[in-house]
Amino acid sequence: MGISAAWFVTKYDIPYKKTIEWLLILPLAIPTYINAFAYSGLLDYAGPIRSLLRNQFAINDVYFDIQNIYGVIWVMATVLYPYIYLSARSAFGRQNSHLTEVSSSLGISPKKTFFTIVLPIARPAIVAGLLLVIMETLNDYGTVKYYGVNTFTTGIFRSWLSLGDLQSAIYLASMLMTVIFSIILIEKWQRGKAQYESSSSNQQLRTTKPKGLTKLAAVTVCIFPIIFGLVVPVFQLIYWTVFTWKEVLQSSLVEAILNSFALSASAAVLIVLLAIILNYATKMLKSKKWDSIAKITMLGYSVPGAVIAVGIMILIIGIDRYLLNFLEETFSIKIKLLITGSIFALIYAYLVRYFAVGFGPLEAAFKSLPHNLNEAGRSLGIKPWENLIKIDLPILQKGIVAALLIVFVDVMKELPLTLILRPFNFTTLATSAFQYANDEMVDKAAPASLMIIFIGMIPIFLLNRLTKQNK
Amino acid sequence: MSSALSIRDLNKKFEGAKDFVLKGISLEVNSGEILALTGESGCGKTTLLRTIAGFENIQGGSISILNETMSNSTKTVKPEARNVGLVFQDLALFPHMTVSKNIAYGISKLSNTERKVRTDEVMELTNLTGLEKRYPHELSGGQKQRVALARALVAKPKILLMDEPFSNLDEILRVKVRHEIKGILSKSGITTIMVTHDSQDAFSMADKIAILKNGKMIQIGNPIELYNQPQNPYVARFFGEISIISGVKKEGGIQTKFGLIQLKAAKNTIKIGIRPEAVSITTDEEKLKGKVNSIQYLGAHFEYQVAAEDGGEHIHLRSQHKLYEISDVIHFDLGIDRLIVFDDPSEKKI
Repeated sequence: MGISAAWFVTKYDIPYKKTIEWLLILPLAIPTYINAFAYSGLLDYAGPIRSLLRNQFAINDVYFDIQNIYGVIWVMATVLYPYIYLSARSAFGRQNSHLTEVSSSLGISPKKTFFTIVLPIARPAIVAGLLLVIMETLNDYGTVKYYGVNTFTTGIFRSWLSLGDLQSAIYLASMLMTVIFSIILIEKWQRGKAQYESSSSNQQLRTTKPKGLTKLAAVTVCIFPIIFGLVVPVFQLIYWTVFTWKEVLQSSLVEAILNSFALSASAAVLIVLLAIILNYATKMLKSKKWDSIAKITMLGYSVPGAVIAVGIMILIIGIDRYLLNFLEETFSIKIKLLITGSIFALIYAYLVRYFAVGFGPLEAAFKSLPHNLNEAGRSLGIKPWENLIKIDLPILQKGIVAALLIVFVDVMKELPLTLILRPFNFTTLATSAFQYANDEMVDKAAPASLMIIFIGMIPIFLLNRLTKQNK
Repeated sequence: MSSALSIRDLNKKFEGAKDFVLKGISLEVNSGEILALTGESGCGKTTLLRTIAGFENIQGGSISILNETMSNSTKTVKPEARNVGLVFQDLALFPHMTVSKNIAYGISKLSNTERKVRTDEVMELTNLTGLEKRYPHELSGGQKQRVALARALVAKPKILLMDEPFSNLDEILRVKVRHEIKGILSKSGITTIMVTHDSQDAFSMADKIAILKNGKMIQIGNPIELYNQPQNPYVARFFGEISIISGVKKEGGIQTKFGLIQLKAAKNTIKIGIRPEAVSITTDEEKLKGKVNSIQYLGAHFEYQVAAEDGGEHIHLRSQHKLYEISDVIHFDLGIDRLIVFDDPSEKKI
């Protein structure tokens, strides 16, 4: 789905291309679990499709059972395809048009050229996108829980939250990690000997205006994922919101919004600050050691939320016990567990998981800065940290804003970490949506879900504009 | 000699653009000839090459290859169906294929044995034998160049098109690769159209050179003609260093700011183009004279910029040794038969 859409968008000048291009990315803003609620609501007994069949056609005995593994696959595919789309799109876009032109001058048909040249050369990028999809899928808790499909993640949750069995949770978590590291290693290995980045050339693929059937096919292929990944779920949510928003607003939604904003904002600021410091340090020190430290911090993103939660749980319970004993013995103060179940634990967990998300764009921005700038500054007698504040940061403004936004939105959407580590009775938009859905009141989950989606669309929108300006 | 490529009155405009990028181009290339298309960047030479390959359609005129019409204002034969070999500036080797797979790519329809035989044949021709299993990034610049050429030659194309084939190479390698490629081309006897912005590339490779400016072909001819009998000062400057001074007809010759030249001219006012090798330094004070303005050491020789007395015009002269200092007066002589005379103000060659 992602690959074909990417190819058609790259190759053909379809009508409304600009709009379609960025609508194709928008499903990124929809967390998988919210899409899951929407689809199951759409297809259940009271949902619009079966109501329509029942009332208009008197068809009663049709069942759309989506609450199974195939449903999960469908739901995941409709919102995660942008990862593939984006990586394939940029790989196709970067590809040297001379390669396909040489191929056609040798008498090879366009179709064969696509499969022997274009696709194989884009493979590493597509595999990288696929890897992200696998990570996201392994991280998912909301969807599989709601659809009652057992996975590693639900296993970790059940052993920890329901059975209180930390040992099994740790056991499951390590198995999951083994799977993930194997995937990363396999990806590294399969690249093999061939070097795919082709010779530097800015000869981009030329677009052609499609006609007749090709045009119809191209438009259909591009619109299909938009309809199922974006339009259908969002309409279902809007439909529910119309009925439930008043009731939900009176209860806990306002508090959830405030909590979500506060949490996401503080995590975003903290992560971006640390990322700037680490980036600047790597740049100034130019040492391999620092480089590898930076790389290690990136690993957090590949670790599923549930695994991080378990890991942090073990750590802070240990610290808390130590503190408890220490304070009791030295000062005879009796306290409750300090950090466990506190906001700090939660923010720390976000930091571990989403550091890479903030670090990545900043690293790219720092690397694009000409090195001479700092050297010019220093030759004028300005101290390194002054350089950072006066030269680097103002130039990197856009990159910093982008990093802040991305982390903000990711934290806002986050579910499994928050569910395990949040303080008692502390709700965020994500947990409140999940809670409602899990308590069979999926229609009341809609307002919170919609809010998450719309906030999630902001950075996509802004980033889209930023890249356009840069062009 | 039969015509391999014939272009008549070709006009080309990009979709949505106002102006034509190619205007009334006509040229013939005979079988086995090498034609260099040259000119400044943006003159339309690469676009012309792309129309020959079939990647661009044309709005007027025609392109025929071996007397078969490939493009005119109503039809464009697809690139796949033209059997034209192509070598790009960036070579565009398939990075995920080995050398032999790259080369055999265009003959995948042949049987296994035929393909092997043909691939080996071309690899031998291009002196690549032994590198079959390498990937493009494991090759040197010259080797890559030959792989791209081998890949283009493998399907026995009717003509070979090369777009700036040498511009990615450094100076030293460039000379070597030019010799290699020229050898391969003459061995295979293929008709070649080569685009280059570099006059040295054009001189060293081509039997015939066409120079384009703003989409028009301003001159076509063999390299010696273009160097010695350029149509106008633009062509003269393009193909090598030249000083251009003005002169007025007078009794006994042409009066210039440097002195009197014994030259017969049909016009009253002319411009005279002087290649550095047409100038010789002399001690004879009767000859032309000027004042040294600046001196550059260029390794092979010293180059003096010599100004006329009123400072308005310059001539460049060369000498093996440093004979003069700045502000010295130099006397020099001109090889009359080597001067290039243009009309003033029309700048047409006389």
